[in-house]
Amino acid sequence: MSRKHPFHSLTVGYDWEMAVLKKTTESAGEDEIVKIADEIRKKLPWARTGIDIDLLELRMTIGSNWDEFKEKNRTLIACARKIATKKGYTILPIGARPTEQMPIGSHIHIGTIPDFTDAIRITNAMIPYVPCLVALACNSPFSRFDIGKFKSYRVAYNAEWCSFPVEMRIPQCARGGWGEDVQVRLPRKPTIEIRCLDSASDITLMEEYTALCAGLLYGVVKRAKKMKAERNMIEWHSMNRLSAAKDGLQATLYWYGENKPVTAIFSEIFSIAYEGMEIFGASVDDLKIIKQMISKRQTQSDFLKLFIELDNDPASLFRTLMTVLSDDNAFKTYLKKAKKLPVRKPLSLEEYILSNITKDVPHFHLYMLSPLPSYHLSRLLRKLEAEGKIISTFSPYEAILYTKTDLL
Amino acid sequence: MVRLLAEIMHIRKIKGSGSIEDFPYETFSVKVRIKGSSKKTIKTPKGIKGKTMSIKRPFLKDWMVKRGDLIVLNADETKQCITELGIQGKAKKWKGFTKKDIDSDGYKEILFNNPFITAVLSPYYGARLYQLFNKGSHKNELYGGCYYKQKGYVELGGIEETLGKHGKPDRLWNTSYTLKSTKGKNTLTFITKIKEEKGLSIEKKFSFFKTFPGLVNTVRFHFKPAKTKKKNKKEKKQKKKIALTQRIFFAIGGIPNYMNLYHIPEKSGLHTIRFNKPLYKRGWDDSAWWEWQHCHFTPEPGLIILENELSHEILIIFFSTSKLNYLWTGDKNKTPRMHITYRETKIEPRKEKEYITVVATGNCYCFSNQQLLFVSKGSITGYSTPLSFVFYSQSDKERKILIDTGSTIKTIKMKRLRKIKDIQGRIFYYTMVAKNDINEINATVADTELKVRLHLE
Repeated sequence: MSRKHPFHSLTVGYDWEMAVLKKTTESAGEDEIVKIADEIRKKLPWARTGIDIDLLELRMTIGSNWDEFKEKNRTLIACARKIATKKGYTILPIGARPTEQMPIGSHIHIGTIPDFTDAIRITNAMIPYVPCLVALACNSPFSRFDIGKFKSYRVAYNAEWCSFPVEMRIPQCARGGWGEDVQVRLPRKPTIEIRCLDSASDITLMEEYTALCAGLLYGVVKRAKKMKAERNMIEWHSMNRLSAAKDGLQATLYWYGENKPVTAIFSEIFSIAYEGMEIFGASVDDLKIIKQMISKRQTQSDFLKLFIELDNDPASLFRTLMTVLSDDNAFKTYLKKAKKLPVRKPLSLEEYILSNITKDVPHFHLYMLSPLPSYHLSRLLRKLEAEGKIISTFSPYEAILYTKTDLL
Repeated sequence: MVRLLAEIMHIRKIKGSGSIEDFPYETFSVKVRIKGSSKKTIKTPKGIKGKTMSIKRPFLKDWMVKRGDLIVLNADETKQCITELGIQGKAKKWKGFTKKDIDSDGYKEILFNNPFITAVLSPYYGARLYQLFNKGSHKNELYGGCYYKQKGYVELGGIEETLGKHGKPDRLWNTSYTLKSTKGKNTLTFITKIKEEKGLSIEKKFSFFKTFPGLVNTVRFHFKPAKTKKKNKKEKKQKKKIALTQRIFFAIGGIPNYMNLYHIPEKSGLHTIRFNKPLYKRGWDDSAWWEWQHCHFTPEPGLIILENELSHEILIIFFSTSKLNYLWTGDKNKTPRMHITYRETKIEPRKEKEYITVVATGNCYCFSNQQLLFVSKGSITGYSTPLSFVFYSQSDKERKILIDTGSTIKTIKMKRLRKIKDIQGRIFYYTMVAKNDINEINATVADTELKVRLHLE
């Protein structure tokens, strides 16, 4: 690894996805979203805003200063809202919609990192911290008519191939990829992209995410140097990722040999991030909303769940949320009054996998469900088979199929 | 399925309060004005747009609604609205059918009843066979879920048509059809013009039977181009290309879970596929184009058996193998489904193309040597249960069935279902009434290996 810091300078940018909705809650449609994006770009040439399938993607220009970044962020959001409102539409950043498909994310780019092997080492070092970011950013307690089982359905569903677990790579042998929770964008772009965050509904929270991610990636460099590949790290990271998607900031993670509430890990994260945040012009003390969320174990998903309790009809719920979230301060108001939530018991990955095995379930389904790499998943399944809980059969089309023995 | 967009006119607090996670809520009587359907592709029931009604709803005190805010009525509120304000009226009998709004969407469906099935047709949504109740199990075997997909498409369920590429839905799924006068008892014909294809119209005919546990569904395309002034006497022949897919949504036994099995007959025997819904499935493009490995090009004979593994009830669909391109089994989707995709063809002016399927329900079956025997149980009436034994073979030879009720054994000649064009082979059936003191019935078709055994309640 080079002696100089791998980040040539510390810069940030983002692709912040959001739905553009008619009054009926239907999407405005691709053609209209393109028109909105084009108008934004004419008004703010530095914001290379565009479209991602059925979503408006606000793209922040490269910035290296917190105050400048915040100013531009607010200008961009205000501009987008004004244009959309004029056309009779509402812009809604949220992790997923209760009815439609299309997971919606906040993708934060941290640069400027010119060396590919350095970037890979940093990404490897970020693996244990991804579940913490997932837990923090939960904002999709529903997706496509499924409600209530996860605080981030978006991450549980791997954002439908748009945010899946980080591959641990040998830097000298690695090639580029696309779509992982933390993704090296070299050799195309000199950034590392954090993709695992559900789209933030609160503007201030999005700013705090960006500052935190900038600091964390900058500071984790020192960890990367000392990092030894822990044999079981991928296994427990996978479990943690699922726990975080399920329980948000109430999750208990497995952390270097012990169970630990995810909120307790953030002190370590802040200590890693502080130096980079200062270079960016921010401080840990600026993360007011994040700190409040951590102290109360509350996420944006917990806020949305209040409304689910009153009305779990997806279409009706969605319209209610459109109205509620049109107030920029809605989540802040909630957070002020919300109580502290209890820590939840650690998720048993074995029990979770077993609960999703019925009859003739292909290995591939469990692979996508579990975020475990194949090696660890196969080990777990062999253990369940040895315990007599499942049986396996072979299929030339789908490799191994699993059936729960009490369903036979 | 329909949800209504409404504007709040007035709010009045009423009795009923509580809290969720220490956030207090109160209940209000809310007067709303109906603005229309919350989905452009789902029709607004007649007579309700612009009208007002009151609903009861709880709201969180910290996020109160106000006059002018928009809401979408939930399922119960929508039903209340249509009942109070809609103009469809009560169910009524009509020519051996019943017209009734069974799903409270403000539009009447048309129901047909015989001892074994209740079939529900929806003229306003593609003239589809919307539901098919198996009276032996009291379950609707056709299920959609009403899930929203891209570009306004909603998975309503039942059997719908599309001319879209790779079986993707086009506009036919929610096209309104008009009823056409038809000769023949227990037959309904619907017709519509396809807006995007000038001169092309579709006619859908449903033929039902008094004692057969199924129906014949005919989809007929007519091409009648507009006349053009041509100096040249040899008018250039225009032809229309069509590639029809029938999209079938089902849940045998009423539950769209892993108990749903597809049985596809091939030369080597029955090929069985289990429905398994993955959690991860990407939301877009669940079609034959992506899932090409689920395409089956050589079913023989032309039928598919969809079974519930636990109850053994079945839905059988017979189709033309001479026109078939492939069957696609959507066994890795949110709910079980399949496509019958026909080969692309061309229709000449003033000609027609026809696609026929036979859809039937049963409660147990036996398949061997490309022959099928199944029995359909009807609703218990008084002191007896109607039973219909159905046999399919590629041969037209007369068939006899041996029925053993425990106390008697009878050999009976089976009735031939009328010959159905393009469906290879022949369907035979025999209908009887079993008295309620019979616990079990065994039936065998003479000169075959086929046997069924049915336990009666």
